[in-house]
Amino acid sequence: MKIEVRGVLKTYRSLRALDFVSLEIEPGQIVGVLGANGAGKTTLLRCLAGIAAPDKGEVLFDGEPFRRDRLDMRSRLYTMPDFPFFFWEHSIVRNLAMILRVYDADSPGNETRVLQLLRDFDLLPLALRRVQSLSRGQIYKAGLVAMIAADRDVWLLDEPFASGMDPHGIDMFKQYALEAVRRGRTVIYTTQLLDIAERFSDRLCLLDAGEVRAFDSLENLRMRVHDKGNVLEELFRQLREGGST
Amino acid sequence: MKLYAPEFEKALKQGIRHAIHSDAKLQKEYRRAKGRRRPIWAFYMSRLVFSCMLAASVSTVLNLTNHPETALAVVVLWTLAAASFLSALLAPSRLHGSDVRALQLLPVSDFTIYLFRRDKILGFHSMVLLDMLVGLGTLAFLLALPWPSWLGLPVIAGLAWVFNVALAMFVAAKFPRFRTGWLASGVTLLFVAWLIGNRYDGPQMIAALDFAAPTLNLVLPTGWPLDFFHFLAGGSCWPPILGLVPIAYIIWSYQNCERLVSGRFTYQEPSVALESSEQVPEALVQAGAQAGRPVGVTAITEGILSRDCFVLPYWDEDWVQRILWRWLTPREQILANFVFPKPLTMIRPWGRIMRHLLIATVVWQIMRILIPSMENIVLIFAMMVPLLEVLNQSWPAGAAFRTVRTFGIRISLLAPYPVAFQEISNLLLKCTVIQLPAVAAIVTCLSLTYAASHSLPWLNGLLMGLRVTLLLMALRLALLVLNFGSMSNDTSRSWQRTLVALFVCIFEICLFVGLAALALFIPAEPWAWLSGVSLVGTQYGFLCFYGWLWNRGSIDLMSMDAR
Repeated sequence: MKIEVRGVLKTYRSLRALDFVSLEIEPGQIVGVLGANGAGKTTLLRCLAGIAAPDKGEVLFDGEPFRRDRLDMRSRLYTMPDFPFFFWEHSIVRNLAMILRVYDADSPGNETRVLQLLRDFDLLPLALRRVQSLSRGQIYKAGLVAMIAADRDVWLLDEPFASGMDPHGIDMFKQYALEAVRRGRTVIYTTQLLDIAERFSDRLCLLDAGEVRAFDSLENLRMRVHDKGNVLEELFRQLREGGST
Repeated sequence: MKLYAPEFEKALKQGIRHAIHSDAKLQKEYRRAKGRRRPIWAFYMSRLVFSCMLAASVSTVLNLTNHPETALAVVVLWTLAAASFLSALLAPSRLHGSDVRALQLLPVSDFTIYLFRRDKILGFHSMVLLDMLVGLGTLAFLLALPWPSWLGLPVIAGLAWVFNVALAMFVAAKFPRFRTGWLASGVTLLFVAWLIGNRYDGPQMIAALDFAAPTLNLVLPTGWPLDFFHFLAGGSCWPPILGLVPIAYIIWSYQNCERLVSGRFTYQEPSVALESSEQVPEALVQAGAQAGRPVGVTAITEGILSRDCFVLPYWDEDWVQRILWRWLTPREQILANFVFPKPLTMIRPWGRIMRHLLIATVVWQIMRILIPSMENIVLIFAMMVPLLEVLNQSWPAGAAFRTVRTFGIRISLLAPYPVAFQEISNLLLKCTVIQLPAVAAIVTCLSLTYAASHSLPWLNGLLMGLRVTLLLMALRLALLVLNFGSMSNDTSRSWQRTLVALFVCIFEICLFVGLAALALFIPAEPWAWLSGVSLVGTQYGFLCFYGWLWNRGSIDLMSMDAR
């Protein structure tokens, strides 16, 4: 699904979280959104997910303006906030069952995939535990299982690499995300971990004070800096020093 | 109790301010991030409304009875509610506020945490001192006391407040099982009942209060220090002086009582049950039990592969539920499981409400024989309890409006999922409409009881019951908008929006109150019904309008915490 963000302005009272942001994201890519704290990364994800309403501008999916009552459009997205939204008093399996049903993704045959995902993320022995009894990393993994099992066109993830997941969980997420991108899915995630972003993204979006300072592939960004081994670090240094990227 | 160094904080703030002012870039950043703060005086101003309500009550009671004793009893009852409320807050289980969890991580003792919490609670309780000053001041003004007497008012109010705190601590320490919260709620309900039923039952209630006032002032502990007011008004000084003995004892025992209360305060981590057995197929559980082992990975695997774990509850508990289930569209059935993870029970709660209504009616009949002057007060209570139960049962919301807090922002639980406004509102409205006959039955019973108690024709009672049912339906629609709005920052995004929202709210309230008044009080039946139907129609229109705003993305599905 092609995503277009056209001149989106989003303010929280006097704070401009997004300052007329425009982007175009082709399907089948992993896009890393980077920026300092308060740069507007999470707000951008929320605008894409329809949680936050832009003050101006619009978000288009496959050329059509996004509306909250367009369930066909909304069900092509899956949003993972920094902490998965679950019913805490219920088990992982019950939560998965409810979420997959809302996405109409609980058709016969998908249970094998769910089982495989639970195994891969080391959640199978915990599948009947209440969500509230799990650790932060385990809850995030359960959220990823729901996301991967739902298999939507666009995956929106807020800070997946700072979610408390263990190295194995992170590795599994990367494998599944890469496999999904090969099938034409789009993965958009925010992060502060520059080395992961450099290795894991097809395109990188640098936000600063609500403005897009760069949106390009790593190769093209490399052309803009002197230190070719630490592209993002140098770009961030330039941003802090007030230079243009 | 301060867990920080005020001097350090002051110096730090000054340093930050200086650093920001000396750097243009930081200044720009500061202005960008700066938000409006909710002023602290706003809280005190809103709390002042309660003090004014007390003053108004004192004034009304004195005007109607001309007995200062009775007006003083109003202040006594008010402070009794305050002391009960404070005592309930001092119970060890209630001392576990959200900040206690954070404080527990610091290297401080339980006693220090207790002191921090106690000071916070007492800080809020300090407003009761203002209540006393306002209440006694109103009484002194209406009795035209000479100015030297006014000098004694702060002393009496101060003594009464100190005693109030000591009394609350005494009860919390010596009678920890005593339901002080219930007492506070009872007295508050009494005030509410008086406010609501003032038109019909005010005189009887005031007569009852007038009759009981001397006893109340003598028997209720909160009356002992306030009795000194008679001394200022030129009354006998002996009864208040006699009261000094228990007052001194309770104040003297404060330290011991506090030691008891703080000794019981030990923080315990909240614990949860690990296993959730709802998805485990019964056969697997039995097999596990026979083999003497818990449900293991093999059983879970079998449960998932057989799809038993994916079977969500089918609403089949009673015949009303079955009708509702058939009425819901397949998509609404899915959402019903999502919004109500536990199926919504239907018949059982209505049976319970009916039982409560019967009990309340019997109690009312007994009371009208035993104490005829209390008949109307009991009737109001008797009607209020089932009515609140009716509203609770017929206006279910489940998890539809539940929010998740992440770093200062509350986001609706359903916001990230593909769920439409109309779907949620339709589901909730169907849950209400299916219970409408039961609502009408209970409300009509209440209305008929009221008509019988006031010797009104039964037909009037019947029609009034049906009109009230219509009103409740309209109220449900209006509250749905408020429920959706509660998850959003639609009233706080900018001052222009706040202004527009305020205007719409005032218009909506005026429209609602106007049409509801016509529907309830207009004698001509056709016009009353027309008003009632218009009320429901306008509220439905309002809901649709809000839904339109929601769909076109004019409203955020999240709200920010107050700064």
